[in-house]
Amino acid sequence: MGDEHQLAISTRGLRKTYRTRQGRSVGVQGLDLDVPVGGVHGFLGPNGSGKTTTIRMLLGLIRPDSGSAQIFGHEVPRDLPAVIDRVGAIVESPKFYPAFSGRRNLELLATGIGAPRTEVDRVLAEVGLTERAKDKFRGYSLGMKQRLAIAATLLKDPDLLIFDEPTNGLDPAGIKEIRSTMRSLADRGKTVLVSSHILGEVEQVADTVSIVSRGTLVAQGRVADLIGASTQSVRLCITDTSAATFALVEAGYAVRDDAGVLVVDGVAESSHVTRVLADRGLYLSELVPVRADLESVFLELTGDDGPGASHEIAFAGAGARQPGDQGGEAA
Amino acid sequence: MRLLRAELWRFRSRLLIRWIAVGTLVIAGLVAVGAYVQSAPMPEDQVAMMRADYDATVADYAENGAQYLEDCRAQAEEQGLSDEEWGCTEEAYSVGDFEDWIGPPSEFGWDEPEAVEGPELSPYNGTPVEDLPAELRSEPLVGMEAVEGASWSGVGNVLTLLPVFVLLGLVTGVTFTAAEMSSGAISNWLTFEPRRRRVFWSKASGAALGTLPIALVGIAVAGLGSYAAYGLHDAYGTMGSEQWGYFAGGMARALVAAVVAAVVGASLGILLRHTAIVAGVVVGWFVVAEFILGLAMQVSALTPYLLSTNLVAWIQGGTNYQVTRCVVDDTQGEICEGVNYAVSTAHGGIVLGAVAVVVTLFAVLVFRRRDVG
Repeated sequence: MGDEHQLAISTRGLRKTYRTRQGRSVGVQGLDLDVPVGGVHGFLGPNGSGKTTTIRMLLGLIRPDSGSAQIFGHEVPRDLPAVIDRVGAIVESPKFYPAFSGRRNLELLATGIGAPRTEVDRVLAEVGLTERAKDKFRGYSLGMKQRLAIAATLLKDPDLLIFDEPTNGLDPAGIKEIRSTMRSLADRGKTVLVSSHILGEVEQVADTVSIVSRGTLVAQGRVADLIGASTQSVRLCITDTSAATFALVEAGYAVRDDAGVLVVDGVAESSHVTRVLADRGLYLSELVPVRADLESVFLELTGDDGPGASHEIAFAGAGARQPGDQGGEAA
Repeated sequence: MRLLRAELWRFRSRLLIRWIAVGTLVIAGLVAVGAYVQSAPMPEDQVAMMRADYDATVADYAENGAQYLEDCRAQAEEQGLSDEEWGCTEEAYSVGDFEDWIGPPSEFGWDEPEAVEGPELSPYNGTPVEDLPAELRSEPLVGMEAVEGASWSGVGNVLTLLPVFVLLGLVTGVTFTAAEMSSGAISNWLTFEPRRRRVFWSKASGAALGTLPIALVGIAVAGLGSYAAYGLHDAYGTMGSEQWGYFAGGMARALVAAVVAAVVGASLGILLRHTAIVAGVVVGWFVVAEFILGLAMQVSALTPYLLSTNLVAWIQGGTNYQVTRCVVDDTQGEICEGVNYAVSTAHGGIVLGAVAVVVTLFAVLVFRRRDVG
């Protein structure tokens, strides 16, 4: 495919504002996004942080005010026709002709892109919709609609799949199904960009993530690296909690008492905590590192204080399941 | 071509469009049924009733006609007008034949008009045209009104009803695209084909090509069905090459208008995104521009540019409108006259074509640049 050492998606200074009654509101503000080729890339951010706007700009549905975007090295939206056959996308809720059956909707799309009708059967089977293919789209459950949308994206056998909040409104079984679909697509060598504000589901499936807040990028990199880069907490069991608290605060740590257990935040190295205490003749009965998860990283980066300094970790680092094999690197 | 094929397939699959096709056939059938009723000979009891009225009037005029005429002339003198100006003529108090009394039979075609001898007369007050001031001289009548008998012939009735099929073409085009825009399905479509101009033209062409057979069948059933209905009563009348040419020309132009209306409808659907909004704009236009300004307020400068005027001109081979004009004459004082102005077929075609081009190109421009939600 010739995409080695390339990014599937790259944006620079992407900006989009909307006219509102109160003036102009910023949807995306100078976004620099890099999505490596291969693997699942989580595009995270609170509601209204600019994820869907970014995806729409990438797909040529809305025009950026300024900045540039590329998909597989092609400038978009200008060169989108050249690359659109390699991109499958579901933007927000799946939108098909409600009065047509699932099969007819797919057949229309297949006719439009010149795909053989046999592909329709294949993709319907792939998402498990063969038996309900003749039902009208308007009668589908949300999960079936999502599956039909995924089937539509697969008609092109794309290299890049963009899923915008694909699990919205789905039950746990549906969420699990979508997650495993994304994983299996990535395992087949596709690049999957999934936007979401539900971090737990992305953390389980994503290799790399970008976190946006208020239209700007606040962090991007491998999930493991981002979690690792976050400051840690440790839980301590110790007899003399007062003396321990005094010693740790004096050493510059933030300490909380959680029902007789001390929780120390902002710990870079656990051994430093034990040394501080040992120097005062205080000995621990237990020290448990509290592992940071993506949610805590996310909250830390997108908290009320607003987006802080951009927190970037090169994709070339270790830890990702497979995209790192391609050697992609953030710009 | 792939996009067009998909659009044509979507066109065929849309339930609402199937209903419009059925509705078109029903309307066409009703036109033919109307022609059958129109061409039926008058029932005998009605003929007998009219005969009784005729005989009573003949008897009344024979007994009192001279007195009526004398009274009329007296009233004319009181008003300071001539007998002719007040309508006191021998003809006014004579009945003529019974055939004239009941009117000509309803026929599909019409007889060739007899050549009129003598000076050309104003169609409104009978004054020789050459005697009128230049400002009050009417343009020659065009279209159906130019041929005596054509207006109330079966051909005339059919051509008068054909704009309904043009309206159906417009509705078809609107519903074909507006539903897609309002449901958001267009954004999904654009993720498969982002070249918006291609997408637009495939939809406009799909609307045109899809509407063509529906309108063709509708117009053919209305026209040829009416011809057959008149035939059932042996009321073809005179259908020579001129009549057939006029009839076929009108139907062909109506078909073209219906197809173009579908393109305009598709453009309006894309532009305004909701069928209800398009309906509001179209109805609003007809109420404000066509009805209030055009008919009620009689803004004569607008008349030749109204869509309704030009559509009638296009289908009927020209149409006419009248404006009351007055001039002050040195000898006769103020003279007022209903002056006839003609709108030709070509004028109708150019105005309608220009409107179609402007609406369509504007829709392309907006669709190319608009953010799709």
